[in-house]
Amino acid sequence: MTPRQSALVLAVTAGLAVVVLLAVDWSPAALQDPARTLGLLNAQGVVHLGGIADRAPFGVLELAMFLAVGLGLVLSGVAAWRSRPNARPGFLLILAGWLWLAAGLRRSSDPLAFTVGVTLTLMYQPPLLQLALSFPTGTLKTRVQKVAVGFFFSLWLAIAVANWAFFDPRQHVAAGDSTSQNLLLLWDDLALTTAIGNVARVVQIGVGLAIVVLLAMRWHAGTPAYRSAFLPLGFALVLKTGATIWVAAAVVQFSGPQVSEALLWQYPATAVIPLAVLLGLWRYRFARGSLSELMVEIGSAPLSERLTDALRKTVRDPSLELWQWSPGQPGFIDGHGRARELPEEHSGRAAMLLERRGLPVGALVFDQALRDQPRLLEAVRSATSLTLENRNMEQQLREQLIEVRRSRERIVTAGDARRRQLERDLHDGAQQRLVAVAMELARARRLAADADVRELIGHAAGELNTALRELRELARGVYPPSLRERGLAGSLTALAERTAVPMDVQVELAAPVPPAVELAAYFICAEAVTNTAKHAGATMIHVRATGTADGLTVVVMDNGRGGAAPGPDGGLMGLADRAAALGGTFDVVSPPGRGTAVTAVLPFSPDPASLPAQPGEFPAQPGEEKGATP
Amino acid sequence: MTLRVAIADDSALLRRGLAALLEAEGMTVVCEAGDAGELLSCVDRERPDAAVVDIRMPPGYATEGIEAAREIRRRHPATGVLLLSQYVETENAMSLFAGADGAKGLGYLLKERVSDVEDFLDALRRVAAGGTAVDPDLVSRLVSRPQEGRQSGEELSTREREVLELMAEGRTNQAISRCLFLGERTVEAHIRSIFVKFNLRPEPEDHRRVLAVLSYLRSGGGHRAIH
Repeated sequence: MTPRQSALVLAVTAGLAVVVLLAVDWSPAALQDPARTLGLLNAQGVVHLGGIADRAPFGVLELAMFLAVGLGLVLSGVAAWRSRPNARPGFLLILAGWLWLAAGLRRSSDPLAFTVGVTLTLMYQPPLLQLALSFPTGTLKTRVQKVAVGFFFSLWLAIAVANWAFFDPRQHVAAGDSTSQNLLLLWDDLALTTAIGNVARVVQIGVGLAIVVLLAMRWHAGTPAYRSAFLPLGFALVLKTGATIWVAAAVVQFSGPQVSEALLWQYPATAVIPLAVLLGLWRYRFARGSLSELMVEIGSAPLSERLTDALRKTVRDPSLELWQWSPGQPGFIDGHGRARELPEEHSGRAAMLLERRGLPVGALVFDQALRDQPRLLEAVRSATSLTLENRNMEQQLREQLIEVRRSRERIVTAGDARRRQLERDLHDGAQQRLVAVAMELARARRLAADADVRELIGHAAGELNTALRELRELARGVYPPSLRERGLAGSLTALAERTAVPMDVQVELAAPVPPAVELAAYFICAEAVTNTAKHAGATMIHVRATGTADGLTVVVMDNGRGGAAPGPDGGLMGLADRAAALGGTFDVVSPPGRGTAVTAVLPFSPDPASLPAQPGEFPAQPGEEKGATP
Repeated sequence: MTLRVAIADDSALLRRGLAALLEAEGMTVVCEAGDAGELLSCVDRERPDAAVVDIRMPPGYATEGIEAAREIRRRHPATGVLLLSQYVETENAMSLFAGADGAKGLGYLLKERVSDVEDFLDALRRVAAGGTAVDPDLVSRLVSRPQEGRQSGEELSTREREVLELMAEGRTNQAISRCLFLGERTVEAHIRSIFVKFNLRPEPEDHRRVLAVLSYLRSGGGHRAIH
């Protein structure tokens, strides 16, 4: 609602109130005139009231109540208009307020003003009926509803006209006088008027009951969110309808001053409507208050279920759902991982897109009734968007990390495969050929008659043997053949035999070790042992390899001088990288003077997404492969 | 007497070269096999004095030669087997020698030893005759290996060590004495001394004493008598 619209509404309302105030005829005869009784449409009622000599005259109190109800309707309409996205419910309330106020013209002695006032007496009711039927959007959905409301408007107008078309109040007031000139009058016929009045009353009571039934059905079919929002207004409307029926009956049944008192009850009965609207608004404010709790909830545990629960509690809609945006599909997925489409218009469900930086992160799907609480929804949207974005970022980061780990593992695995292939190529290619050459040289040497030639060939053969030895060492460095032939235990034993420092090897494996892990374990041990032999000044090295069903732990310990630390260019760092590439850990403990312990834990399944198996799920069978070299 | 030899190697180049070398020495090459299956059927058919076998052969390119050697020893104990490998691993050698007959008629050499023709032929003849041939690399690795817990007084003299290495290679006392320019009795004395220091029971047969010494060295010393 723009300030201009508010100003216009308030100006019209003030104008109406002033016109009504000015129109009231304060002469004693006018105050006693039963035809000018506010809210009394029925001609029979006027006749009945006219027969009661001690009827209460119109007073300032009644005028004040009358104006208060009209202004209350308008102001609650303005408040509703301001706080809701849809202007229509507020407008309907304002319209009802205006029509209510305009009916006050009935207290005028001017025939036209009197006639307009009489005609408009009950016309404030159709907008309220529309509000009740169309709650909370204010828009009538079905054709039946539109026809019903249109029929209601026309019916009320027709009843007003029919009641007064054959009734001249000036001729039918038994006690006192009526000075009201009815411009609707065709001719005066009290019998006809009584008949019309009886029919109209039955119709009015029937319609009133129908409204109560309709609202009850709507309530029964409504979602909890609808009920929560509609409760105050619905209650007020039922009260008002009941009061209207009671007043209509009371006016005819009672006699004496009770009739005037009964008529006064219409004001509080109508006043509950704006009060109910204000109560509803206050409830929305109260709901906003629990947003701070929501933020606490989100901050402490951004779990999908708890977040949804918190949101449901905050907006009082147990049917609220939080769908996440899946950029892969693309589309929304609900809490059970199913792909979902956003609800269509008029499906009873409404959706709010959650976006961050122009990109969708999710959607809140809720009862349509909640659309009435735009500020609350806005706050919920902000809080939820923030949470979802955080979680999406976390998820992205995790996926990237997984991908980086996998690619690193792929790189290492591909490198290992290349190593194996290279070693085989050397073995089957260069080494074989060089051995063949050495053999040919040996034969040539034996065949050569000349001693110089024999010496020359012998020299060449010696060089060739050196080359073969170097090539053998190179091939071993690329990929230890003992690993292919005898597994980890065999290759570690071979390592022990080549090492100058006494070395104790113990290998216990519960399950076959994947080749990548086996190779990594071997290289880690070999590098650690080489480091120790070179730098540690140790006299003993212990190598332990312990395999479970899902991982391998290797420990290389020495009794050397310690103080080793992984540096950026050192071999230890390379070992740490190798362990990490397989999703494992690498640890060096090397206190100065107390030896060095290198520990690597290598999982068989490097996938960071997979969880380690439960202990006991795979019973360990120790000693399947066991190598020991004291 | 002409030595009848079977050759098994997946490299045709090496097979041909080896065959030419052996034939030049007056030996008869009864077959040149490309894999273990071929070798076994050849040995069954020809009953050669010795088989020169590459350890790494199809299909697995791992230790097929060792399996073939075991099979030959089982079926034809009279046929000596000389295994060639492009590198030596103690595990391979020991698993080979761990059979029922120990190191009898078995050899395990680096492939490139063929270029030292005299030594190679000597090893082949030894194996064909039921003796043993162990690659010097493997022996020196075992001998020079750091030994934990070895007691003082066990230390070998330089000469004893030389004798030990040659003995572990599978050479006869005669060959050792020729090699080191020592009298045979001196060599025998050294060997007795070594066995005393190692606390081993003297073995009359060359191939048994090879296995005893290798096992002792491999186990890293200590005072276990090895049968």
